[in-house]
Amino acid sequence: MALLAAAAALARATDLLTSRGWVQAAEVATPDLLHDTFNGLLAFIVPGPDDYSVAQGVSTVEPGGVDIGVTDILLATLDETTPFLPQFSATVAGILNGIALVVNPSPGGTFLSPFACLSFAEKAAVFQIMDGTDSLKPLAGVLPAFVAFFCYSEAAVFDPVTRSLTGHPIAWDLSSYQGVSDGRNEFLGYFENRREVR
Amino acid sequence: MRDVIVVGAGGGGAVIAKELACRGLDVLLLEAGPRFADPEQDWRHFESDANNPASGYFRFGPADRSRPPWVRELAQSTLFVQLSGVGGTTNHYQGNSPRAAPGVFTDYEGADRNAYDIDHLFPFGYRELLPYYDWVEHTLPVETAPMGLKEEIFFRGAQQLGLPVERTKDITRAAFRPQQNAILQPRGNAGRTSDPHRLVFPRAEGCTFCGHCSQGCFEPLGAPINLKAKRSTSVSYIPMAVTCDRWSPGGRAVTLLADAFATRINTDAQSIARSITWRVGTTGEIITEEPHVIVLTSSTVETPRLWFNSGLPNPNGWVGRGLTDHFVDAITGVMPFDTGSTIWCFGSSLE
Repeated sequence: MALLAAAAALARATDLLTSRGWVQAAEVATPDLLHDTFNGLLAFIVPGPDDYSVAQGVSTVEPGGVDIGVTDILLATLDETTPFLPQFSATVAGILNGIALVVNPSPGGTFLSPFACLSFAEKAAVFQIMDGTDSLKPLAGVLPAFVAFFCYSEAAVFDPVTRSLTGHPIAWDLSSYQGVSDGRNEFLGYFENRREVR
Repeated sequence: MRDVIVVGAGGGGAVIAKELACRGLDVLLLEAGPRFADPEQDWRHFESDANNPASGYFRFGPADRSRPPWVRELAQSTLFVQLSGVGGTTNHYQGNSPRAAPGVFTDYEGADRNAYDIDHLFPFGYRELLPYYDWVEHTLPVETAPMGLKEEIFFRGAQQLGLPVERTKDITRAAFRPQQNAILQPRGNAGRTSDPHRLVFPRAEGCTFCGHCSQGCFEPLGAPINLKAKRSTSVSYIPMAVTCDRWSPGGRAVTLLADAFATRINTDAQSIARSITWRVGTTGEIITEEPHVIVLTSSTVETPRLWFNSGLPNPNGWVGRGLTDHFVDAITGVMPFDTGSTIWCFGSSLE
């Protein structure tokens, strides 16, 4: 819902997107650049031991967003749900990389994506700039939550055809979640035996 | 000519449709989203299946999940949850059913009256609302919830903070209580095992403490639809509404149309609402019907949207105001002891 509102806000801001070169960048974005950009985003939202997390200077021993393996699902979902805004994922990548070069014109690093080459603090600065730009504010608000949803749900191992899991979700371990169940042995009675209010 | 067309089969429309039809009125209930007639088939416990904002069965979009969701442009950066389908947002709420604070109504005379937004009080009295609360709470039913591990820990924290226990249905002060919720009480094996074979109805009745309220409740397995634990209107009021002719003397069964998106209220030259137009999602067919009365209950967002898009008047300025919505209240605290691991995703009785 909020994702679509963010896309709608971008669709209304074609002048801004064009003047900053983000539309043009989206049109020539390669699959490798898109993967690099979104891996950099996944590492920012849920750091892990992967190269993108290490490069940003914030990493963990436990698996993170890149390890969970939702990059392709993220890209596909962004594009399939916004038919009114072609190449939505590429547009998002164009915005992240364009603002990354404003934050740090020479980020260095080995990744194709300037955003993926930023430090963790510099990535936060990218979102700060987006949050201060009216047409980008909805995207800045929803993108972290959207990415986190895919990281912490079963998305990486969920088969939409059979509506079942093809493996054990890494995120369940990350959050110490015991997994789905039809019920739990949890009933502890009633607080002070209170059964009603009047 | 039909008596009433109700737009939206969620928390409001299902109640109104049932109440009118059981008294003998001819009611058509329109719902833009899916029918959700078989929770055990329609729903799963997986968050990816339920609440994926793009393709989840609880998204705001058409019944056909291969088609994209509907777009709503927002005037500001905000996030709110919409859900299309019979039951509306009662399908993914946690059953929490508190009453509104009396202080936001015109008849409140408490000493803390000025602590409320007195410039925007609801334009009627709390006492006027109470009989309707009583009736709905009795029908669903709304009852005092039991404790699980999370609730027990929460109550210990609330007591440690010195908060008093609220003993009334009405909110009278800063306090805590086991929540009043619309979830059937656990009986039999419910809440006492995680073995799915022992959680089948009627060996288990009511809440099984599965924690999957927000993915849609279809527990206990094998229970008739009207005995599913969480009282979403899709499993409580809707079964009553579509069978009014069989249990209410003089009642008439509600006609329920899912996949029917209301697009316009049509008015006459005096701006009187005369008919309603809707689009059938699967075929694109456009249908217009003229009833005696049109009731708009298509959520706090879609109702004013349809109202304004139809050019209806707003003489008292209240269309689109007084937004009330189920939102995710969360309390974060640090306990001076290990609370244990996260066993399940939602508590059944926190308030």
